[in-house]
Amino acid sequence: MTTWNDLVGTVLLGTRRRTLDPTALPPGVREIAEQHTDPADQALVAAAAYTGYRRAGQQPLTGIEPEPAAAADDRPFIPPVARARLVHLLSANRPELVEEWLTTVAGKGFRVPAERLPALADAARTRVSLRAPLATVAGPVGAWLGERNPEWAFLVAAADDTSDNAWQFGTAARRQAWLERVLVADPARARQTLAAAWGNEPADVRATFLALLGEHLADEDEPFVEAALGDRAAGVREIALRLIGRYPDSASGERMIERLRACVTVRSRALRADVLEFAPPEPDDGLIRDGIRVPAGPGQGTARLRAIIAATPLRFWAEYGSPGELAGMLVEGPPLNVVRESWATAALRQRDEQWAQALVEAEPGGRSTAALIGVLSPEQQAATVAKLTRGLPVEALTRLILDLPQPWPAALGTVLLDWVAGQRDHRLVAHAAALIAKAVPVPCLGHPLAEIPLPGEAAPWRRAVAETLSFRREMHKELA
Amino acid sequence: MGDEAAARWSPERVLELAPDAASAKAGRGQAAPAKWSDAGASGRALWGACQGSGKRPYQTTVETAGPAFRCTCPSRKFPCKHALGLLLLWAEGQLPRAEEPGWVHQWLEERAARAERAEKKTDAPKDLEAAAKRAQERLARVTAGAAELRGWLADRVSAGFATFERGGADELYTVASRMVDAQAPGLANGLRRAATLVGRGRDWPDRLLAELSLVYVLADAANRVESLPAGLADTVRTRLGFSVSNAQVLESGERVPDQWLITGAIDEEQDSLRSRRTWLRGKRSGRDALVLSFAPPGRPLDSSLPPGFEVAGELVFHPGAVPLRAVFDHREEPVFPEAAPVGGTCASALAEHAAALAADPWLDRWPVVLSDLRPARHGEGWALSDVDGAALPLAPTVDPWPLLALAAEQPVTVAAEWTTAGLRPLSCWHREGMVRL
Repeated sequence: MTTWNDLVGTVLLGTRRRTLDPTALPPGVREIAEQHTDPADQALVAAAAYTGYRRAGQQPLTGIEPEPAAAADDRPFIPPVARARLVHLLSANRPELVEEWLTTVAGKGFRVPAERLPALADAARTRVSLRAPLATVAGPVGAWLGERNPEWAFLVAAADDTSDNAWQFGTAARRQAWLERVLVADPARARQTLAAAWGNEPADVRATFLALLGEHLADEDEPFVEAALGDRAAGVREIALRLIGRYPDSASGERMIERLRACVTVRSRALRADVLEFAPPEPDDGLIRDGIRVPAGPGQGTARLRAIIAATPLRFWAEYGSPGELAGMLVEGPPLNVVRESWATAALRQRDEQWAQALVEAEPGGRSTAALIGVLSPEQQAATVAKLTRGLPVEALTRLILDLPQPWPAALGTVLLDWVAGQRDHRLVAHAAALIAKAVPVPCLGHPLAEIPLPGEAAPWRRAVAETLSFRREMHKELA
Repeated sequence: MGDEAAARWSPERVLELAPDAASAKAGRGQAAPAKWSDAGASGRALWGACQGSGKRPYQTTVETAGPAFRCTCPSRKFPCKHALGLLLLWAEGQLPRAEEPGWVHQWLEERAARAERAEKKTDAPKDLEAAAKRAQERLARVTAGAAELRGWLADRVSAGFATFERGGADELYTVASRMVDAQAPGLANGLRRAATLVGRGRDWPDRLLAELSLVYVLADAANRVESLPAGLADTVRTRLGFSVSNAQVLESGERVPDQWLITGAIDEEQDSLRSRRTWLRGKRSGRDALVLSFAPPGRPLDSSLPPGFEVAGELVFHPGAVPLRAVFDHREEPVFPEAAPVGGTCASALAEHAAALAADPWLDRWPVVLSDLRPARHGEGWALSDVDGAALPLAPTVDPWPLLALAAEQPVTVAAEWTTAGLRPLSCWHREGMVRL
């Protein structure tokens, strides 16, 4: 019998070269083909009839297993108005607002319509900061998708349980998610597991895990952090130095105090202010053990001094004066900015409010001012920035605002919005205002800046600020 | 007030009007009350003034029935972002009810007067004799073109398709444009489809032969269209590209009053013409119907039949062996139904498709509604599997993920077009409601 494939073969070659025997066609096709006499016509008509039969005779696929269903998700869906907002967010290309939206949705325990998850997952592929909140929001359906689309593997991590499989066999992202979860759920087990694996992990993984532990730091972690000071990788030592500052009475802190004591003296002068004198510290093998390695060469004395001051508990200075007095003192030996910057590093590591306040007041335009303000209590942050908005020139102030650590307390947000409201049109103000509108916390979103209608001639940046604020306020209201 | 809220559109329906994605985005940007002054809505129109980059604010008016738009902005998009923004505000219930200001009222009156004049014009008597003569002349040209095409195809078959691989596609396009000249656009379309197949994939001779053999049979049928059974003759005429005017259909077409579920819609753009296929299914009759709408690029397509809604009304079908295309004679406002539709199985859908193919062998897409579907892997791609364990593959050009995400948790009901490449899903009903894909 002439099959469809035979027919295709004949037509490919041409009926001039290969003859078609109409009597060999299946009965239904043959009947139609034999109404024509020319072999080419016969072939074409037979092909049409065959095509009809083949299309009409198509059978469903059988013997293929449906995929197992995703685990049930009992969370409520976001309200309908928020769904419309999501469509807007996805098309408006404002990733920083998507992140805020997702974080809020995750916090409120909502889920989003499943058909939007692929678009969100694609957005999170290029914007890593979206991944964690999206994984929470996407829940079991997200994990289901992540298991089936390798590009969205990051969705799997969050939905996983706390069994050790993820830790032993998972990707870096999954292991990190596991550790993060278990540090909260079963801290003792997390620390035990981490300590057991520590020596065999590559440097970047050690650094990530140590930073993660730093977010859940407890008293019992001191020996672990102490040990990490001597790590062979600079990245890990860096983090360990930052974390050890949180233990004011640590053994390494004591050693640092001893080292520094040998370098500092106060010289009193008649009728003039005291001078703080620094002698270069002696090279000392123990320093390496305490996380400080200074390359040999010119300036190594200053570099060593800088590292030691930054690593010394600030209580050391109590006998020399209050933070305010010290920050204003004259210095001999290293340049003044070296000493101040080292104090700033110490204040940041140790989260010392008094020192942070003193250093900001001593040098409001200093490099570390923004970070130091982040150490202060919410009220102090607001008060300090309010003072700076009156004192600093606009260039320095806008640079400072861009660097202020987030999230901002509500009081600080209000101070900044008040500042924006009082400014004239200026390129730098417009730039800072755009950031402020995006970063102020939710309680600030009802600020008059968003409420009072702007006159027709108002500059576009003012409209943009008002729009961002009211957009965000609506966004949060919908999810309340 | 309740009535008014019901008459308001959903934001999705408003955004359907946007001529492109950028306009939709810009329209959303305009949907903030702060951007507007003196904005309001009456029962039939919306209006407002919007401060743009110009010195004077733009005046925007929308008549919701048409819908029709007017805006003093210089945008060449239609509708412009201001009209879209205004509609969105209205859809969200943010426009206050107000008296129409003079300029709005005047525009509405002018429009009404123009519409009346236009209606009078179309009522003018036509020269029936001349029309019949023109139709005869066209049929003669089409028949001549079809004969030429058959001869050419037979030549190609006797010489062998293998020669197509070099320059065959260009040759097909050339013959296609001759068919356009012969006023047989249906034959031209078939040839252009065939041209895209040449050399694509390992089985291209298979698919090329299938496509060209159907074009051949259509050309053959053009010759003896008078002797064919009435339904088939109408199908052949339609496939050849003879259009039937709405007036003709309304006068003599088959009328089916029913409660019609709008199962899905899909937009396409070809030869600088945008078209929207909207599929419907009668609740009582079980009939499938296809409503087409067309628009030039940059103009909105008809958005009055939103998928998922139900509309009561009388559809009048174009003639044909498998009547699908239809127009509404009269209909009511679409309403959103309580329950999801009950679909069939994969096997029953294919059986119906087979029956339809027997009557119209040129049928290239068939509407299906399938229930209780679960996703299944099928080779590199995906398929949807029903309660019997039978499955249909998704067309490889379809992005499967939104549908897969919907079906991950629980089985879903899907409305789709069944094509030779596989399923092209249009709508999905799941536990929480209906989603347009």
